[in-house]
Order: sequence, then C-alpha cells, then structure tokens
Amino acid sequence: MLNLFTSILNFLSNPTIFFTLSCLAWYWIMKYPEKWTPPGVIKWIFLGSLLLLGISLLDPNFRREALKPDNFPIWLLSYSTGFVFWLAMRRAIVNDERVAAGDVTIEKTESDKKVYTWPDLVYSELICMVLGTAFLIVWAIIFKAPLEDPANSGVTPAVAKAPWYFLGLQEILVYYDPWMAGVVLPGMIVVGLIALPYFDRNPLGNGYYTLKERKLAIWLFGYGFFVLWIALLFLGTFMRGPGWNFFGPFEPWDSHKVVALSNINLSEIIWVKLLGVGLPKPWYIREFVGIVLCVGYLAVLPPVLAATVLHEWYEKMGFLRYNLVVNLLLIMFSLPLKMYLRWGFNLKYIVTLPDIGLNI
Amino acid sequence: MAGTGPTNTETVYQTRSLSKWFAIGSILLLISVIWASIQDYARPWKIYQRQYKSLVENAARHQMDRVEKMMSEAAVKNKLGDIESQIAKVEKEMNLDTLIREIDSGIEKREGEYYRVNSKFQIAKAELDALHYQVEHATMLHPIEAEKLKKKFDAEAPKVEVLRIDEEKFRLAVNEIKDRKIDILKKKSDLEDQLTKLNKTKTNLQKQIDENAASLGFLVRNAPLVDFVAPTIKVNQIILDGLYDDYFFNKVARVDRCMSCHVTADQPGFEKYPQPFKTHPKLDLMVGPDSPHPYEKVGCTTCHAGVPQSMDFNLAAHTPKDPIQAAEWEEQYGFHYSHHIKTPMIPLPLVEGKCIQCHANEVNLKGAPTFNAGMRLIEQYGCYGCHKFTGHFEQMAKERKPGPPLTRLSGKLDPEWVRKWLLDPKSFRPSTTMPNFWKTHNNSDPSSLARGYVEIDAISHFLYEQTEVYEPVNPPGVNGSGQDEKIKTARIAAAMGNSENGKKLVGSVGCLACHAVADFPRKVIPAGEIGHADPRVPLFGPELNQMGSKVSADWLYSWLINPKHYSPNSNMPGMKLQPQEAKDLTAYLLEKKNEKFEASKFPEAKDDVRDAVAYEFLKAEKPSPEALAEVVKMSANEKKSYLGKKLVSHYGCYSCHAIKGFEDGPKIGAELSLHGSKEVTKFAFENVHIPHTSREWWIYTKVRTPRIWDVGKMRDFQAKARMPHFGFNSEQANAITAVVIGQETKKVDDSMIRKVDARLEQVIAGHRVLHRYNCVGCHAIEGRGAGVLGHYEDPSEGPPNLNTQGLKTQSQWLFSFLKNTNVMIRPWVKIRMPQFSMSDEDARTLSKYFAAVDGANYPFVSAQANPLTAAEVVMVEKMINAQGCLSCHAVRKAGEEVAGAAPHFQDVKARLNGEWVTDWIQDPNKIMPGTRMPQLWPPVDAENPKAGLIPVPGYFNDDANLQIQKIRDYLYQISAPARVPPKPESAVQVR
Repeated sequence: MLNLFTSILNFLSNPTIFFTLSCLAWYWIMKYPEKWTPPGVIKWIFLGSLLLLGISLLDPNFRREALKPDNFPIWLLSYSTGFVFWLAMRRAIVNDERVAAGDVTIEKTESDKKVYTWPDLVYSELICMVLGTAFLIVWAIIFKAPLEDPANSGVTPAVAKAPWYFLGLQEILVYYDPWMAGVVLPGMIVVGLIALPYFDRNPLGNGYYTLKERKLAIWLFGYGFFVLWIALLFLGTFMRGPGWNFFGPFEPWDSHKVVALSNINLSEIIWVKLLGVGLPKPWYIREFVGIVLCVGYLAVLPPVLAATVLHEWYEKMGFLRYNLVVNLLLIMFSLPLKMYLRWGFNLKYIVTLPDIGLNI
Repeated sequence: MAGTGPTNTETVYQTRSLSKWFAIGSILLLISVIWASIQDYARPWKIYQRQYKSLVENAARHQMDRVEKMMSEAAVKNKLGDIESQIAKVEKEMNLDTLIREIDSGIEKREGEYYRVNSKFQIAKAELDALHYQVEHATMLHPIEAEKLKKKFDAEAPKVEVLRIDEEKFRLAVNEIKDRKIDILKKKSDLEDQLTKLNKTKTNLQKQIDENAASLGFLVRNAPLVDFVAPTIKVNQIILDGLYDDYFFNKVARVDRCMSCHVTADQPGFEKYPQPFKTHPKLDLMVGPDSPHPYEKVGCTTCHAGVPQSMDFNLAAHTPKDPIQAAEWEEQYGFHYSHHIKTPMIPLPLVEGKCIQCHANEVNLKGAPTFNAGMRLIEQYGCYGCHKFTGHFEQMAKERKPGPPLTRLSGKLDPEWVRKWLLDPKSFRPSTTMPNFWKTHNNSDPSSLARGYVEIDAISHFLYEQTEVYEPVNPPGVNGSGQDEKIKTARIAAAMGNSENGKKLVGSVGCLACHAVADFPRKVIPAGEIGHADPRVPLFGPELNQMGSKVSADWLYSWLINPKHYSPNSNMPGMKLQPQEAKDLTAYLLEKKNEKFEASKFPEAKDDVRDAVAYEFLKAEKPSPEALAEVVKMSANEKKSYLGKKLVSHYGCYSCHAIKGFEDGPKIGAELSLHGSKEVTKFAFENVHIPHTSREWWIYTKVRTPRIWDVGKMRDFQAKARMPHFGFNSEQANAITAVVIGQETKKVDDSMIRKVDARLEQVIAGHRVLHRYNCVGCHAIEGRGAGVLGHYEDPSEGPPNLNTQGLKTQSQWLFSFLKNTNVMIRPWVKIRMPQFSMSDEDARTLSKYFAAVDGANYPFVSAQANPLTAAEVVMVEKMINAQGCLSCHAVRKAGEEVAGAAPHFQDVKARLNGEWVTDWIQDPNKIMPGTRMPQLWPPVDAENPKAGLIPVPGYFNDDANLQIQKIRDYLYQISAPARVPPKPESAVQVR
C-alpha cells in the first residue's frame, strides 16, 4: 500500500509532470477561488496535506531529506506562503461579494478607526519582536547548526546545491545557459519588480483585497512567484539529488545514478534530422532559424499582439509601456516554454554560438 | 465617512488584548531562554566534569578516612602512632637534648684527651723520623756513630709504637661517640620525615576534597547564565605545535579538546571506571607524562583521529569498533555515522596503524602487536608487489619479489598441476599465501568459469614457453646429465631414502621453524612469553603436507641439498644436509599427498571461448575486422601464447613471480601510500552493505573479499576488480587494514617524527634483514619471536635466545659467522643454524644491528683480558676444576682434546667480548632465560643483587668478582684464534 503510494508520488514528482501539475493547479486555483478559499474547505486541505506528510514520513528516504535541519525553512516557507495567500484570497472573495452586494470592503470598515503609534504600532511591534526571538531560540535549540569539517577546495561535495533561496535559479540552469539563467533572467526579475509600480498604475485594489478587479495582474504575478519560484525551489530542495539528478521524494539518493544526456540543438534538428544534411559551416546559415525565432519572439510578437489580442493593453499603456511589459512577460514565459521544448524535443539550445559564448 | 474620521476615537487594536499577547510572548521568551540555558548547562562535557569532580572528591574522602583512621588511632601497632610515640620516646623519655648535651660534652672530653695523646705521639714520631734520617746519613759517613744511633733508634721505636697505638685508641673512641650522635639524630630526622610525609598526604587529600567539593563558589561560578564570567568547568584543551590540521592552503596547529570529557585519561587510578573516566589503558606508553608519548606533546587525535575541537559525541566523530558497540552507542549517546566528517576516529582495533605517521620506515614497534602483525602480513602475502607503499615496503619491493620465480618452472612442476593450482590454490594447500584469481565473487558463474579455464590454460602455456631448462643436482650414485627419461628415472630412484629417518630429521634439523608439518603439531605459547607466535602471521614457508602431490623426488632432493641451485634468490637456506639426510627427507616429504587434488582433473578449455577472448584482446589493439581476421589466422597455441602474455600482464602475475619478459612490469594495484587520507566519497561502496561513511570498513571488506564490489554489477572483463582473493580471516584483515589506514598525507611536522639517528637506522635496517631471513622464526630477538620453541619442551634444547647478542659476540666474528655458519657452537642443540649464503651487506647490516640494539660499540672493542701470571694460571685451573666447568665445556689442553656438551672454551677469544663474559658468569639466567649454564657464584641475597656473590673459598682473597675476572682472563689466555670454518658450498656438516 505504502509502496503504491510512494511510487505514484515518485512518478508525479518527475520534473515534467511536477511542473505541468503546478501550472494546472495554478490555473484551477485562480479559476475557482471560491471552491477552495472557504475556511471549511481550506481546513481539510491543510489537514490533508499534514496527513500526506505524515504518511510520507514513514518512508526512510523521504524522512532523510524532509527532516534535515537545513530544509526546515522550506517547510516554513511552503506553509507560511500558503497561509498568507489563502488569507488574501479569502478576503478578496469576501470583499468582492460585499461590493457586489453594494456593501463596503472589510478594510474600509477598519480604516475609519484610529491607529495610534502607541500602543497600536509600537506595542504590536514589540510583541512581534518577543515572539520572533522566542521562535528563533527554540528553532536554534531544536535544529542544531549542522556543522561540518572545514571546506576543502579540492573536494566537491556529492550534492552541490546553492543555498535554499537560490534553488529555483539553480533549476533554471538545467534549461538555460548560465549567462541566461544566472544573469539575464534574475536581472530581469529584479528590474521587473522595481519597475512594477511604473507599469501598473491601476488604482484598483489599493488598500483592500480584491480578485475580481485585479484578476489578470494576480494571475500573472502569482504564476511567476508560486509556480516559477516557490515550486521550483521545492523541487530543487527535495527532488534534486547528487549530480542535480532527479530523484522522487521516496527514492534513495544514489550518487552514481546515470541519466542519458541526448539533448541536441535546434540547428541539428533542422539540418541533420529534418533536412538530412550536415551542419552548414557559416554560423549565420546554421543558426538562421533559431535567430529568426528569437527575434520573432521578442521583436515581432509584441506588435502582432498589439494589433490583435492585446489591442486593449496597447491602447491603455501606450507604446513604450506596452513594449516593456510585454517583453518582460515574454521573457518570463520563455522559461516554461524552454522547459517544455527540452522535455518534448530534447532541445538543448535554440541559438548556439560557442565562439562568442552565446547560447539561448 | 472622511469627515467623521477625526472625531472617531475607536482604535483598531485593544490595548488589553495586546497586553495579553505581550504576556504570552514574554512567557514564551522566558521559557525559551531558560530552555537554552539548561541546554548549555547540561552539555555532556560539563556534566562529565562535574561527575569527575565528585568522583575525585569521593575517592579522596575515602582515602582521607583511611589516613585519618590511621592517624587517630594512636595505638602502638598503628604506624603513625608508633612514629609519634617513637619521636616522643626519643625526645622525652630519652631526654634527647640532655643526651645530646651529654654526648657533646663527652665528645669534648674525649677530643681533649685525644689531643693530648696525639700531640705526644706526633712529637715523638717527629723525633723518631729525625733519628731515622740521622741513622741513614751516618751509615754512609760514620759507621761507628751510626751504630750508636741505630741502637738509640731501636730503643725509641717501640716507645713511639706504643704512643701510636694509644693515639689510635683515643681516635676511635672519639669517632665512636660522634657516630652515636649521628645515629641518634638520623633516627630522629627519619621519624620526622615519616611524620611530615603523612601530614603532607593528609594535606593533599584535604586540598583535593576542598577543591572538588561542591562549594558555594563552585556553584555560583558555574551557574547557568553567569558561567561565562569565571567558570571552573572549562574546555580542557591543548594546542599541539608540530601536529597540524590541514585547512587547505593553511596549516593550523591541532587543538585537542578530548580531555574536556575524558578528564582522567592521563591519571592512573581510574582504570576500572566507565568511559569517559577511564584511564588510558597503556599509560606507560601513551598519554602519561613519563611515557614516550606524553599528552602535552602528542595529544589524542594524532593517534585516534576524529574532530579534535568538537565537544559533542557525534561531532567529535567517535567510531564504534563493531556493530554491537554501534548499537550500544546509539542507545547511550544517540550515535550515528556522520556523512560530513572527513576524518572520523579510527576504531580502536585499528589505531596502531597511525603509528606510521611518526614512525615511518619502522617495521617493529614495541607495544603495537596489531601493527607488527599487519606489517608482517603485508610482507608475507606480498601486497607491496602490486601496490605502491612508501618507506619499508618500497625498499622491500626493490629487493625481491614475494613469490617464487617461475623462470625454471618446467624443471619443477608439470603443466596439469600448475593449471589445477591456478584454478584453486587453496584446494591443494589450504594455508597457502597464493591467492585465488578464479572462482571468486566476480567470476564464479558458468560463463566466467569457462573463460577462466581458457585463461588458466593460456597462462600455463605461456609460462612453460618462457621457462629455461633446469637440471637438478645428481643424487650420489647417478652420473651424467641431461633431461631424458632414463637419467630422470635413475635420479628419482637414487633420491629416495628412508622415510622414518626423514621424519626424525624434519623434527630436528629446523624445518619446523618455517614450515608446518601435520605430524609435528606446535604447542601454543601464550602472548608475552618468549616463543609466542602471533596467530595472525602465517609461517614463513609453505606447509609441507602435500609435497608428494606436487614435486618429484629428483627435484626435491636437489632442492633440499642446495636450494640456491634451483633458485639463487630463494628464501630457503641451505640446511647443511648430508646426501643421505636429504634422501631420507625426500622420502618422508613425498609420502605426504593430497589425494583429492591429485584425483581432480582440470576442465577443458573450449576453443570457441578462447577465440572470443582472443578477439576481445585483439580488438583493443587493432580495428575489429583485422582483429577478427587475426583470430581466424592464429593457431590454438599461438592464441594461448598471445593470451597468456596478455593475462600475465592483466592479472599482474609478475608482481610476485619472476617471469621472463616481465622484469620491469608496472605495479598494477592502486597506490596505497596515501590511502588513509583518501576521501570517503571516492571509495566505491557499490552494493555492499557496510557503513558508507568509513574508509576502514571499505578497506577491510576489500582485504577480505576483494571482488565483492562487482556483485550485482554488469561489468566487462577489463572493468572487473582484479585483486585476487587471499582468504584472510577477520583478525588478519584487521591488522592489514590498520596498516593501510595509517598510510596518510603528512600531518606531522618534521620535528615530531621520531628522529632516526645512526643507531635507530641500523636497528630498522636490521629488522628488515631479520624478517627476510626469518631469523625470528628460530631466535628470540628483542624478546620476540622464536616460534619454533613451540616444538620444544625445554627451551634450552632449541635455538639460542639472542638477547645481548651485540654485547656478547665480537662484530668481526658475528659477521664471518653469518657469512658462513659452518661452525658448531652448541653441540647439544639438534636444530641447525642454516647456511644463508648471506651477502656481505646483509651480514654487515645484521652485525651492526645487534651492536646497535644492545648499545654496544661497533666494531672496535678494547682489550679483552689481562694476562695472568703462571701462579695465577695454576690457581684458576684449580678453581675451574673445583667449579666443575669442564664437566660441560669442551677445552683443548696441550695436545689433548677434552670433549664436552657446552660451547668450546677455545672459541672465547675470537668470539666473545670480555665484559660480557664476566656478566654471563655472574648471572647466566638473566641474559638467557632458561639456559643450562648454572650460576656458579650464587648471590649472597637473592632479593638484593647488590649484596654481591658468594665466592669460592680459598682463591683470590675470597673475592667473587675477582675470581670471575681471573677465569675470564684465563679463558682468553688459553683460547685459540678464530677457527676457519669449511667453505659453505660444502654440503657436509661440520661438527
């Protein structure tokens, strides 16, 4: 029984399925928020997840990773973000219902009340400090700092992992060249987040929770945060073992696991596989299709979209803002796109110019 | 709503509910802080130190009780009371002060009297001396005057003599009374000393009690939360200069904190306490302040490894010695193997391997039996043939190959025997050091076996192709040479003697020192006694219980009569056998057979398998189609030769055996000189169920079951493990593992490595030679070895103990004896000193070794003895007769030879050192325990050797030492120059 359970979960944890399921789950969450937000439902979801965790802990392999003191923050992260997101969604639904019924939002009823610096602000800050300190002390007592031998520059550990908060980025490294995964994409994240207030000047939702008025914004942001960041972080922590190989949560981490590496470049797919000829020497001929695709994705697609599906956006935002926003979104979606291309076609690079170290 | 804002005084949060949360938070914070303090207060090492203090306190109280009881009971019998009352007696009852005063006045009086008498005597003597002069002076010039003066002198002299006697009497009287005073005072001060000593013990104990009792100060200083100020419970650490941790690009002095928990490791008296309070079990060798490895200098982790600065059971990386201990620890300390620690502690049974760090190149260490056994095993099984080591084994590898040479194989064995032997050597001779290459973990399935038959067939074919013709020594009565059947039959017939006699010879001449023979079981001599043989180390030579199923009579006869004839570099020495003796031995040894092995047949090597194997090897050398064509083209014998050569190189046969064409073959095994430092993650544990966190488990498993790693793996022939299966038992594997674990990267400063001075260098070199010739198989050297004594009821029947050999014999004599042993020294000893045909260098190394190990001077020695006068010679000869020396010792008198059972006196001068001879006569049993030589000058007091010896009355002033010295001088005077032994080539033994 437990065997069946673990093998099903192992199967579902395969990156392809895991990621696809995450995307589908996100779709469902945003599509039917009223189905899961009621406290009566979320309570069962929470208890169900605890039960799942409890059963999983019966397995020694799962236990080994799940109970590592290093991984405690991941559990904390999973449940705390889940809780905060649920709280926001719950309030948003309630607010939306109240507004639809002609009532004011919950926040509005509170914002009429006074909030004094003392006692309201300072006191509650003090309480948070006290509780936070107590929590940190207890944490430090229960999960002792995992001290190891002094680092040896001559020896690479069998499992070479980034700190937990970078594991999402490390997962991206599987699909993109380091300069993309390590420089361009994280850079875009930072730039995009800084620029967000300038792109999104919609006053709706300021000071209160709402889903109906900001559905697309929440959808897009949440996809980037929950699916492309938190979920990958979870995957990187629990399902990536020695050699960054995939291991189901109930599989032992075998550092000698061998995985076939048969990825090929787009140029090879086109010239060798489809046309059945050798690779042409000049790079511009060899990489022609890839370059066209990339340029098309980033330069041609936005105006096409502006003219068709996203005409409304274009009208509202104007040329510059529209192009920046769409380009940022396109770059964000290039990650799942590349992931599926890899899984579907073993695609290594769309454009590869090893001479100048440019691989996309 | 905006307008009503300012007037609305309702607040979002209620102060009361905030206060409630604040209260809850504060309580939680308080609890967590208390929890943290308790955690800190209850750290194991702190608990141990507290326990230690109460342990010491209790022990001290216990002792104090005893001392106090002793001191309080002032009864006469009680020691202290006795002392005190004695002092009182001396002081009061005897009225010491008055007594002294009386004595002092007595002294004064007597001194006065003495002065008077003495001055009278001195004046009289001066006058007499003047008179003496006058007499002499006058004798020349005035004879008549002289006569007168002489008379006067004669009259005066007796008077002066009377005065002298008087003076002497008074002088003695003064001295006597002075001595009495000294005696009295000494007695008093002795008693006072005893009292002071007892009081001091008491004070010390009181101090210990005070220091360790739970005082208020102690409690306060070590109380939770304040114990950072000035705690008495402290991390007990030591910084070891010269022993460092390598922090990659930076070497840091090692800091050992082990004694924070193991508080009493360096204190005797805690031997029976449980850990961590146990005293180190070898305090005289390790840790103790007077030991060669004091804690202050060597620390703990130098030998035990582990994480020196960690204060937690698991973080310090304790390693259990076996799964049982692991389970115990798991329960007691929450033990688990750590994946992160590079150098976990070495399990106790393997710790001795770490000695190598500082004792590089040494083979034999006192107090390290496992290390010694491991070194010996590696030597005897020839691990160094395939694996590179540093130090000793590197040297050995240069000197000789571990196995017998195969260059004359055809002269000794037949091919069928060789094939069956290769397939499973242990089925022929269970105790052999030849390992199994086939029928092991990774090649016992049917297809591997079929391949194995082909491989063995090819190897034996190749070996026979390479061998040169060997013609054995002819037994007496056979003439001519050649290989034909006729002469061979003649040789075989002539080589067989009487097996009954052969059996006796095996028991007597010394075969049993190196070889096991089932007819002669060896009794076990317990460890610590001379003659104890480590059961882990196999005998030096092969067992002789199957010879009849292996070799033929002509070869065996030739081998026995002169082993170097067949194999010039062989370990087997010449046993000085007469032809008849060799024949008898041949007859006896050939009776020993392994019927089962003889009856077995080597399975067929199939042609198709041979083709496949040949193709596999050829494919690696040339393109596949060419390889295939080659296979088709080659004849079966060509394939065999080709494969044989390839396989000898693949399996590394040449590592142990000399094979023509493979003189400079590379070492095929992994280099082991740094194996103890290899990253644990770099050992491939494969599917074997052993802790994957420890090197020693892997190495141990590799030693015992070298090919187990291939189980469950699909591997090509070339990728399979090649190390053969030696069949070590767990103890042997442990000893070898210990030595391999000790092969580490250097973590010890040059200053800490044991200084190899000229003397030690000679000792180390000597050990190597002692091992090579297996001298220790017969002789006890440095208190070890002489396993052959297990065949003797009376140790004096066996080979001599070589204790004090360096002081005993002259270096020049020893050198020539080692070069040529055809000299009979102990006629009663049946076992023979073999003829080793030692090189000059080895003989020199050994004689230097004996000198170095006994601290003797090499090679020059001073005059051995003093010449005796004719009268003294007569007296000594009488004394020798009286003592009965000649009832045992042989001696040569003018023209007449007196035979005897003990060493011949004529050898003394050339052989022995004078100083040693006197030591020997004084106490023979001390030098050679169990010797037949009696102590003819027994000690006056057996308990106290300084009391002297009982002399033979009537000779040399009844001075025992002088008597012994004169006998020594006599022996040197009568003995001849060194005997010239017959040439060693002669097979005839000289008596």
